[in-house]
Amino acid sequence: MRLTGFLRQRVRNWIRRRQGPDRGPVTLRRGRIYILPTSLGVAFGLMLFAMLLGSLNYANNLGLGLTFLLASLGLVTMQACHRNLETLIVSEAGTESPFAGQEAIFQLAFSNPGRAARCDLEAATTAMAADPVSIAAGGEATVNLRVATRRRGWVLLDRIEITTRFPYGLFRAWAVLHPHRRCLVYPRPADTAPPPPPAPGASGAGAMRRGDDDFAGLKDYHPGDAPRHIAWKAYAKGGELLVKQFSGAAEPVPIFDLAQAPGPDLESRLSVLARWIVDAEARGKTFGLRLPGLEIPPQPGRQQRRRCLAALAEYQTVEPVDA
Amino acid sequence: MLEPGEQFRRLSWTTAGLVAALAPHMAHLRVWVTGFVLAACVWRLLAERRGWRLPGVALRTAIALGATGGVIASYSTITGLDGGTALLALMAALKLLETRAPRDHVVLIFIGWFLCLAAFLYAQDIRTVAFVVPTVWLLAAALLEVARRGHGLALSPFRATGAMLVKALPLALVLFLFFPRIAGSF
Repeated sequence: MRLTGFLRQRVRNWIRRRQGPDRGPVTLRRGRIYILPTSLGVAFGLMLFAMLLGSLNYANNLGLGLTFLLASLGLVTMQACHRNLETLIVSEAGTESPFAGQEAIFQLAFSNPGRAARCDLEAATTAMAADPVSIAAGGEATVNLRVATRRRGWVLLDRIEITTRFPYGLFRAWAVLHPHRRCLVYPRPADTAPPPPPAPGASGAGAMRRGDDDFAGLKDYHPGDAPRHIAWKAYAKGGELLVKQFSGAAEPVPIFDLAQAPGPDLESRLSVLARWIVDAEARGKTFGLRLPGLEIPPQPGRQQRRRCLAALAEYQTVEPVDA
Repeated sequence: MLEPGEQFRRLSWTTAGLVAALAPHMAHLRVWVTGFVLAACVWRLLAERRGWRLPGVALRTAIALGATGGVIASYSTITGLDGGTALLALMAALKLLETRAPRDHVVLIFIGWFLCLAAFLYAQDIRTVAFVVPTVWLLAAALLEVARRGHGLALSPFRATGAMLVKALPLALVLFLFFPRIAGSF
């Protein structure tokens, strides 16, 4: 077991040296497709040898013919297996950030420029394989590669293997890609967290902030205003896009501060902050974030959530962690 | 793990190939051998449909010993063409009773090709050729079906393997013409 592991590592290093790193879309050309018989292929070869001996032993011409037909069929499937990968175009297609402990998703896009369909392509990281996909002639497919994560920070994906055993499973052709892709892992939101401390000036008199509660008037529309605040009735009457403005003195805008988050160590305090951010966004609230040396001004919405969680994930991490 | 419908479909392909490969031998095999193999085929398909449990190791060992004993009793040997063919057919039936993984299917298809070869050892006439060639094709199509790993993109198995066999034909012809024949048997 140790020997095969050692050999596998040597082969991987050799492939990495001879191919170099990959940037952007990669077309799988001959020089980077490897092919070897599977154990099934070896068994097929042994069967052919036995058939050959049998036919020769009985000096049976039709038996020899059958043996040679099957041997040629095996060679044809070898070529078909190789061609199933050749000229396939593989490109990067986005990542999905997880919380620590969940799986990071790296998307791969396959596109088939050939005139024949490609069947049963399997993409895999060193740890996990994605489900096989088939692509019609001229078609495209997206594959999700999942990488397990343990803690917040960057996970790196620097080796992808694309494999096919089509058509007969007698041969395995594969190509290796060395992208340099990373995906940010957010800190896992704490299971239980105390409610965030009240924002300063919570009971401050007459703090007229823009809020969502009481209708206060109309103003001109600017890109970025929430569509649900557009005054469609006014638009229907006057043809002018106006936005309803509301005033809400009720709720002050909280800025979550690392200094105010409780917890025994940095990681658990970041987890508490993550919990506050996730909850606030789920309730449609406006929120901001303050870390030492960084302040994200309050805003509502998904984009803000991503920005704040990313700031937490990257806080005081230096090196990307390997997956 | 494959879903039940898919497993049944693969099993049907393999069984069909096996029965076709067995057909040329039915004339000379003892009736109990043919009967046992066909019964095993039917039982296995029914078991897949109805969700019956497959026989365990003890029962399979008993069947294997019984089959070998039966061949010795009927043919007085397990080597030789007659005894060997009978044993091959029985072992195929036995393998069928434990077919779960794709690998088991492939073993059955290999046995099917062996039975095709054995058919030529019995008779090298045009009728045998006319029967064996489509059987080889059917077995190749079955192998294509059982070796599929994904669900996407259904292929026509006969068209796809037919195209590959046509490509294999010239090469096979070259091998056939130029392969040295060794005189005598060993």
